[in-house]
Amino acid sequence: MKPALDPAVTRIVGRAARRLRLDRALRMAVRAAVWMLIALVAAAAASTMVPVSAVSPWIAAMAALAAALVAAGVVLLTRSDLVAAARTLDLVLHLDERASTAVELGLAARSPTALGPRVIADAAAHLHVVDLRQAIPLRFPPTAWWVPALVALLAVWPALVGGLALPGTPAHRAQQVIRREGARLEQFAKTLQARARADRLPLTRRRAPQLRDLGLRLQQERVDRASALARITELSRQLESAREQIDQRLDEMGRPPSSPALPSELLRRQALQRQIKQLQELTSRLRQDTSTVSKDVLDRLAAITQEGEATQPAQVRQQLQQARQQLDRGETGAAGESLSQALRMLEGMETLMADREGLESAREVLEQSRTAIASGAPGPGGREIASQPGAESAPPEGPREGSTAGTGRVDDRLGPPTPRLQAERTPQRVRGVQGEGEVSTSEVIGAGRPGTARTLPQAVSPALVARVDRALERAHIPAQYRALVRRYFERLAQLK
Amino acid sequence: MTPEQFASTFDRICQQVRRVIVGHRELIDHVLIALLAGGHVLLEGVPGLGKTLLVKTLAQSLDLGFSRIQFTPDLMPADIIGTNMVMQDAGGRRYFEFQRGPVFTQVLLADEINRATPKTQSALLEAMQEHAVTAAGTSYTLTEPFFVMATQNPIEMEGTYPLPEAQLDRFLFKLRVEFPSAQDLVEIIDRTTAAAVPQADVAATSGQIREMFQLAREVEVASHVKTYVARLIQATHPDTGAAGSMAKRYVRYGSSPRGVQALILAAKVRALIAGRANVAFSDLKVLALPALRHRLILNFEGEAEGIDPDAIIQNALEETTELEGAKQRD
Repeated sequence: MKPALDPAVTRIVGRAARRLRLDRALRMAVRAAVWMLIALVAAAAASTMVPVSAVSPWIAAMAALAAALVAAGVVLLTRSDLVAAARTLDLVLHLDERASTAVELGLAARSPTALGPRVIADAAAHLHVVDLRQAIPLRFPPTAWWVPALVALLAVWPALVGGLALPGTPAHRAQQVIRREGARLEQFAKTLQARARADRLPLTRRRAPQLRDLGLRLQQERVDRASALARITELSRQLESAREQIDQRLDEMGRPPSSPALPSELLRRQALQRQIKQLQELTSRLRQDTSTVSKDVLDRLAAITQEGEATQPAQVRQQLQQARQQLDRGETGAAGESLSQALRMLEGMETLMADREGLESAREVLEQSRTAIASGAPGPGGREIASQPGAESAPPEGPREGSTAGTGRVDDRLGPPTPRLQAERTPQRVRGVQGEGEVSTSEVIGAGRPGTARTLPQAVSPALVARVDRALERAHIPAQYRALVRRYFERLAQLK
Repeated sequence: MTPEQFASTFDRICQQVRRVIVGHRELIDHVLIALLAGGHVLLEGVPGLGKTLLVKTLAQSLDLGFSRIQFTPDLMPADIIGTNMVMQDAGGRRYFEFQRGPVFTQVLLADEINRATPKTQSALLEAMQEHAVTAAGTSYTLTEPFFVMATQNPIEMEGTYPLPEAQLDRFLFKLRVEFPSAQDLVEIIDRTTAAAVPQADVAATSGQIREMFQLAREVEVASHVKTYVARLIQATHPDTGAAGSMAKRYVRYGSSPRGVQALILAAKVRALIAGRANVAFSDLKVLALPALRHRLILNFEGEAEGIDPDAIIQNALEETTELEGAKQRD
């Protein structure tokens, strides 16, 4: 017959088992947290060799906490083992295996000896006076101090080691790509900034310095891949937001939806510019001669109206219609006024579209940089970025050119630095009628004051071309560049 | 008999033995433990340390029959077991009658057992294991309790026959009799050179001894304690995964399964003496040396370097954890 286990023994050993489980859960939690943090520190250390980003201390703390909770949870969900608890009690309290033998006797299927009940009673007597809190104290294991130490290490990691890369490692190559992309972005931002200032593009002008700042930071700071991508994404999101703002304003102005005839924004803008130019002409003609209205003016107005069906807002079309009717009635002055209003609306729309295009081009460049940084390969177009849409692509690198600014190599001394123009920078937008054909916009640096030269360009062209050829030859300029410069002066000579 | 009676009887026996024997507290305890566990003891010590006196005193205090055999090279098995002698009855008819040898006793002192030839030594094998002897095809049961206490001199080895492993294995304990301390020597002078030499009184009858023997077998052993003993025994074997580092290097063959039995039986007795009805690890650790030291066969390296089996067992004890596969709490 199996002896009944004393209830006191069961209760005390059961409580001991629960305390032991808690104690084990505590130790396992600390162990799991420590291992998790060690893994994160190892990952952070690996970031000096491979392009992975170090984990932030908050995420590390959360990960360690999660690991600790999972480990503790697993332990707490396991069933209490009375026999194991009794064995531990025996060891801790030096009970000479009384508790474990008694529990085994109470739980085992085998029949005990005549001394079985005596063992159980003996165990009960010894366990009765046990203070479990003292016997099994719940305390953090000695390794617990590793947790704050490792979290602190991860906290100071970015300041001490963050962004460092060992030469020749993938992380170093990734960092070089980031710096190169930073230079690319800075260069593009400069151009964009000048263009935005010249064309009076408010939103682009506001965002361009941010782009330039980002480019500078990517070049100067120790930035890892993830951080660089995050910064690019953030700026890209801001640009997107600004673009949406412009879209909203364009929609408020009554911008017609895109048609199959003019699928892209660029074509729409070009059509708009053409219409503006035609309207400017008409307005100018009406101002010069208000007495008569020729059939040609009416035809051109009809052509503008017809052409602008896909691009003009309803209000503009309405104004143009009104102008036609006024011209039909011979009210030339009123028609001129209506055309002027339509012109102002179209010019405002064109400015917004230019602003939008600037933002869009910035976003595209950011996207290219993001792709380049993410893949670890240099961005499209080598080292240079096309400063303007439609501009000629950069010629291939010469024998003494580096891939980024300032990395070229010149054996000969370059001579004294070029004297700078002592003038204030006064960006001006050239007003006038734009001709047919390819459109390009660029920043022209010229003298601050009007010059006094009387000689026409074509008069000096042959001599100038020859001189430039010689200079470029001496300076070891690659042939492609020399051809480019020569072509520029030859075109100047053809100007009438 | 209750555990309390067991402990008090044990104390009484000890007190009586200690009235005669000076010092050797642990030795006396171990001899009594072996007796109550139903085992035999091999005492190793130089002459004059009181081995014979101890056995005689023990027999006196237990009211048991006592015989002493001085083992010599010319001692024959029949000198131990007995022999059939031709007898003549009143009618003049002759017949064989078995004359019992000194083995027919309850406490047998086999003095300097290693001086007899192996043939004579092996005459004790059956008596020790089966508690019976066979002569001329007839088996004779010995009176219980039967306790053999053999002695051997570890120094004077010339002209001796070391006990074969099979016989050594039949001893529950091998005990070493140490030289007494100065204080004990003074006490020996006082006790043995005075007019009145102290004598031991009877502290327990043979019936009580048998009861104690039975009660010892009732002591409980937890499963993890049994596992510990098994792992400890395995740790003395060089070829097992649990082998201790010293066993791997110096042992040719470890303890036999008799070692497990001896250790557990002795531990049960010790548990009762300590007032427990269950075996504890401490019992096993205290008794591991006397129970196992004569069961290890050293290899050539061990013999050449003069390795003490006690060191190997101590090493096995240190390297065998109490709870298998579980670390103790911080």
